[in-house]
Amino acid sequence: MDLETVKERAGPREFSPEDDMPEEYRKAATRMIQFHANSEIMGAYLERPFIREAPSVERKLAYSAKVQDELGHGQLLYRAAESLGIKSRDQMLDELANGEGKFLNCFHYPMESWVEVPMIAFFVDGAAMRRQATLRRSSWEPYAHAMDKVCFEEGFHIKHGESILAELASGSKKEQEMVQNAFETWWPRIIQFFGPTDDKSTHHDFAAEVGLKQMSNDGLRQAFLNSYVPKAEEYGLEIPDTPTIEHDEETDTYEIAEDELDWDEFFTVSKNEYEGGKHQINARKEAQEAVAWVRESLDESEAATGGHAPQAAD
Amino acid sequence: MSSEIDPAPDPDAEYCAYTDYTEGEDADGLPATGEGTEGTERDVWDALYGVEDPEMPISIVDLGLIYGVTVEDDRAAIDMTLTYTGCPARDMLRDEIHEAVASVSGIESVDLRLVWSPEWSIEMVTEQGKEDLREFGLSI
Amino acid sequence: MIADRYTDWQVHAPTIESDIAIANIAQDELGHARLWYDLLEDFGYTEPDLIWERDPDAFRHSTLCELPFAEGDWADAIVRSYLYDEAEHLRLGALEESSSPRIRDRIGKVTSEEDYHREHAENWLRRLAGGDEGRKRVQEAVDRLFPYALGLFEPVDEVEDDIDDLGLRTRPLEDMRAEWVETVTDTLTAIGIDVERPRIEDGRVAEEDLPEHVGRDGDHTEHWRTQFDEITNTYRELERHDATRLMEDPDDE
Repeated sequence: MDLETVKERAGPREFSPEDDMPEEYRKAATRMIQFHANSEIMGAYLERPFIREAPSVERKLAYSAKVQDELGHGQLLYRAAESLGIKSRDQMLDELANGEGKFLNCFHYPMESWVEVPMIAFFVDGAAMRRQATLRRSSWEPYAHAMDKVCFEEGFHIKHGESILAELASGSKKEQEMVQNAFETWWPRIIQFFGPTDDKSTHHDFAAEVGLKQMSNDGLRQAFLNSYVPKAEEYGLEIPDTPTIEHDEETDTYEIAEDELDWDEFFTVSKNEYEGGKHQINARKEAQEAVAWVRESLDESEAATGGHAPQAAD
Repeated sequence: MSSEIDPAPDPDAEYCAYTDYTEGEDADGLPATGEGTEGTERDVWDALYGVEDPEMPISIVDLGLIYGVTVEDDRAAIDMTLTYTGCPARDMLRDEIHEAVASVSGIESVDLRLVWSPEWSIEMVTEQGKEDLREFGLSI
Repeated sequence: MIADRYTDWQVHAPTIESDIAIANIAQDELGHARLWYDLLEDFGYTEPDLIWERDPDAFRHSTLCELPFAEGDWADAIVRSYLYDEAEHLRLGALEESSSPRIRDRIGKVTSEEDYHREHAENWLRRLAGGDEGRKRVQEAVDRLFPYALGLFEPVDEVEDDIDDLGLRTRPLEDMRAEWVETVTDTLTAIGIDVERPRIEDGRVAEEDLPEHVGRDGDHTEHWRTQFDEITNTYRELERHDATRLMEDPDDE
C-alpha cells in the first residue's frame, strides 16, 4: 500500500497485520506504541514500592493489582507493536533497559510519599485515560483493540485513585496540607503530560494524517482540564499559580500560559537525561540484569527440548 | 458487632445462611436471578442487575455473584460472593450494591453478607452473562 | 507477610509473564489474609489492632515469611513459595472438618486457589533444576530456607493444644510436619536436590535443625523490624487511627 492510499483510507481500526503497510507507517506506529508500552512498565516500576506502604490491606491489594495490570498492559502493547514487524518485544525491552526507550514525562520523577500516589493514580492516569479513549479509534487495529481492555481496567484504577484522594482530602489538616504540597509539585508535570502545543510537536502531523492519533495534544489537554480542574477543586485542592490558567466562561475552555512551564526540563526528561529518570532507568536495568540468568536458563531448556519446554510455569 | 471476643454467633445475624450452604455443599438454585419474584423483592433484583462488575462489563447478577435476596419489611438481606478472594474491587463493589439497593423504594436498610460457600465457578454465570463475557473477549 | 514479600518481585521478575503470575499469587495470599481478618473482626478485633498499631514483637508468623530476597534470587522466591504452599496445603486440609462452620465455609475457596500456587512452584522448580545454574541456585535456596520452613510447624504456645482440643483443626502440627517433610524431601530429591530430614527429639524438631529465630514463638529476625517499619510507614506518616474501609464489613451490620 502506498502512503497516499493509507492517508485516504485512514479510519478507525482500518489497518491490521494482513495489510501491506508502508515502512513509514509501520515505523511511526511502532514508535508510538513502544512509547506507550514503555510508559506502562516505568509507571509500574515507580509505583511498586507503595504496595508495601499502602495504609490498609484493602489498599495494598488494590495497588498490587494495579501494578500487575500495568505490566499486563505493557505485555499487550508490546505485542501490538511487534505486529508491525519493525521490532521484537525483546528488542524493545532491551532498549528500555539501556535507556534508549522513551516514556512518559511523569514517570521520570521519583515518588517519596503515599500522598503522591493519587497524583499518578488519579491525575496522571486520568490524563492518560483521555488519550487512550481516543486511541480506541486508532487506525492500527491491534493497538485500538488493546485500548479496549486497557481503558476498561484503567477506569477501575482511576476510581481507586480518586478514592485515595478523597480519603486524604477529608483527612486531618496535616494530610490535607501534604496532598496540597504534592499537588503543587506534580501539577506542572501533569500539564506537560500532553506535550508542547501542537505546532511544536514534531510527530503529530504524520500520526494524525495516517489515523494513528485521533486527537491533538491541545484538544486532549483541554478535555482533561475541563473535567479535572473542577474535580481538584471539589477535593479542596488549590490550583497552583504557575502556570497561569484562565477560564473562558463562554467557550468553557482553559487558556494556559505555556511559557511559564519549564520546557528545558521537559525536553531533558524526554531525552532520558533527567537525573531522577536516569536513576529509575538504571535501577530497573540492574534488577533486570540480576534475573538474566533465569531468562538464559529458560532459553537453554527450550533449546534442549526443541521448544517443547513445559509452558505451565508462567 | 460485640466488642468482646465471643465466638458464639449472634442469634440475630441469621448465620443459618452459612450452615445451609455448607451442609448442602451443592449449588442448587444457583445462579439466582430473582426470576419469579415480585414487588419490592423484584425491585431489589432490578437494582442489583444495574450494578456492573468493576473489572468486566457484566451485571453482578449475570456473573452469578448474588446467591440470594430476602426482603422482610423494609430490610433487604443479600448473600453474595466474589469470583476470587483477592478481588481488589471488593469494597467498591459492596459500596455500589449498598447504594443501589438502599435507593429502592420501600427499603430502609441493607444487610450484605459475603459468603464463600458454595464456591463461585463459571457455571454460576447466566446465559446472558456468558454472552457478555464473550463479547468482552473472554473465551467461555 | 509472605504476600508482602512476594510483591517485592512485582516489576522485578524475570519476564512479564512470571511477573504477572507472582503478582497473582501475592494477591491471592492477601485475599486469604483479608478473609481471615474478616473473621477475626467479627470477634471484635479491628485491622489497626491486628496490624497497624500492633507491637511488631507480637506477630507470630514464621521467619520464612519475613526474610528479604537477595536481588535477582528468583530461585529463593520459587523454593520459598514451594515450601510454604506445601505447608499451607496441609494446614488448610486440617481445617476442612473444623468444628467452626465459619472456618469450614472459607476453606473450599482458599484451597482451590492454593492448588494453583503449588502447581506454579513445582513447575518452576523443575524448570530451574533442569539446568546447571538453576540447580545450583535452587540447592543454595533449599539449604538456606529449609530450617526456616520447618519453623512453620513450630507451636506458638499452649494455644496450640486448645486449637486441637476444641476441634478447630483436626490434625496436630507435629503430624502435619511429618507429612510435609516426607513430601518435600521426596520431591526435591527427585529433581536432584539434596536435603536432609530433620532430627526429631521427643516429637519436636531438634534445636540445631531450626533457625536461630523461629518467628512463631515471637522471636524474629532483624529484617522483620525493617519490613514492619516500611509497611506501617504511611499509616504513621499520616497519623492514621483506622484502616481504610469504603464501608463497614457487612458481617458487622
